[in-house]
Amino acid sequence: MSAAEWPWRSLADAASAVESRAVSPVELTQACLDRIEKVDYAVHAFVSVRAEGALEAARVAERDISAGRYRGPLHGIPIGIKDNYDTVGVPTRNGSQVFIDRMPSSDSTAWALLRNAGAVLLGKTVMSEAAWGVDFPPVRNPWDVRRNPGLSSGGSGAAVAAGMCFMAMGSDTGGSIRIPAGLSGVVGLKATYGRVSKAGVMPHTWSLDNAGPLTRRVEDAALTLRVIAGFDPRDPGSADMPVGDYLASLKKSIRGLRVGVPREHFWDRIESRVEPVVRQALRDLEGAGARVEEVSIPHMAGALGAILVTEMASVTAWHDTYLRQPDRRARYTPEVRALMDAGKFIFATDFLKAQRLRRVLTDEVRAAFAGVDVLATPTLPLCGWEVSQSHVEIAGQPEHVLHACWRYTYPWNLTGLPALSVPCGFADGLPVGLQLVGKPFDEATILRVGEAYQRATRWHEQHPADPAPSTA
Amino acid sequence: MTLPPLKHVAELAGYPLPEADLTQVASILEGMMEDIQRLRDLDVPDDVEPILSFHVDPWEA
Repeated sequence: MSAAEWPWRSLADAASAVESRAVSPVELTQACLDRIEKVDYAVHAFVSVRAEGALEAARVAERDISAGRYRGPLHGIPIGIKDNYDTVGVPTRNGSQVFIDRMPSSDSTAWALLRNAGAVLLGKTVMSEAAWGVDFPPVRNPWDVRRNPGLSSGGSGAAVAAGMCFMAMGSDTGGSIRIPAGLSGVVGLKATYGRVSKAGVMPHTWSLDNAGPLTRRVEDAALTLRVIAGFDPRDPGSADMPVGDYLASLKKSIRGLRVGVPREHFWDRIESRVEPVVRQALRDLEGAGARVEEVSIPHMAGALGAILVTEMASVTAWHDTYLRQPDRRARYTPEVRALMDAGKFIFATDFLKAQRLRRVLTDEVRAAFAGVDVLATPTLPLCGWEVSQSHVEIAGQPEHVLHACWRYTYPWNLTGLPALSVPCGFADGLPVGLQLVGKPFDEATILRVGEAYQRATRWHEQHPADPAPSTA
Repeated sequence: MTLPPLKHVAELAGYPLPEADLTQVASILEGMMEDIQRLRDLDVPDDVEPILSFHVDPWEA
């Protein structure tokens, strides 16, 4: 296989080849750097690339592996990390001019675990400012560079989709791992709240934030989760729960497994080109042996207000120190600054009502799970929108893209459940995602269903053509 | 949503804002009011406490 072909292979394939010394970490890293050089002028997925540092790390990995010190599947694998993860020696700017000079003094736990597993950091990926707002730097969707790749981990999704790295870490407060996964045609995993440490990941909304991977294959997400999952005393939300053998679960059949499809909310306002793609995906799951049935979660439609007030108040509370410093305040973009200012006007009674609704929702979702093993929904109600668009029209009604894009993902942040987006086809040439939701700490089952779906359909094997030179 | 009452609320919050910024805030809040009102209108049983320290508990099989 030529070096140029490696960046399109799965992380699992690359790991096997590294272990057997069929390919070296240096070759893999150089191949990814070559991809970045070739396509990132048009995709703009990376905010910083550390080519020399990555190659040096790859050389160290190569020496260790040659000396018999192979650390596991991430050893020598080139990855990207979102700009809100603390990484010693590499600036962490949270996508914002406010933090332009911020150089972390310690590593985020997730990066420390990946680094100890031998992963090679290529660079930091672009994110929307403070993981908020839509007017974010020029990341483009590799499937159509006129379009948005999804927020706020858009750089991570685009980097993986365009073959610039084997995995990229994102963060997800209302869908920001699964949304770029859905729009960019890759896999995105938000584990159960507390499963993956968020220590050292710049906060957005404490009770909703999750750290997790974007990959091209479900197996790659499982390999990554095995490394980053686990209790961390540095994270007050961390869960002290046993970490499963996610790879072993992938091999199991889904015959007889019960898939619930929520009746409310998830099909109310969806693009007519997206719904049939996801309905077909449900039939494909049936074809693979699963039993699909409807379930009910009555309060889901009222949950938007709950996540809005939770996010607005929390983001503003964290950024308050900076908003009160005139020189820092001036460095926020006007759109993000206005959102944060608005957070000052959220009433405590509404915030507490939202936290009470989260308990009601959790009870309803638990009841919906009584007869099923996983839930399945579309990841988004729309495909990638043009970067100049702030509004889209869905089912005949204009709607702000921020409102539309997270409609099917934020319920699982409010309830803390694990959720996985897998590519399930295309609408007008743009990727569509299927979202699989599991019981608390049962990432193994959603990964198993996602893997079975990939075996049955192979949408994940498609990748975008390189952007034309005129799109620079 | 008019600016004078919003200005008073901002002062109460210890967060005075210039009029241009308040105008943007008013626009954002107006866009959210329908969803916040829907939240306010929801019936939640009296015995439901808010989740203040968020943790997910495993479910029994």
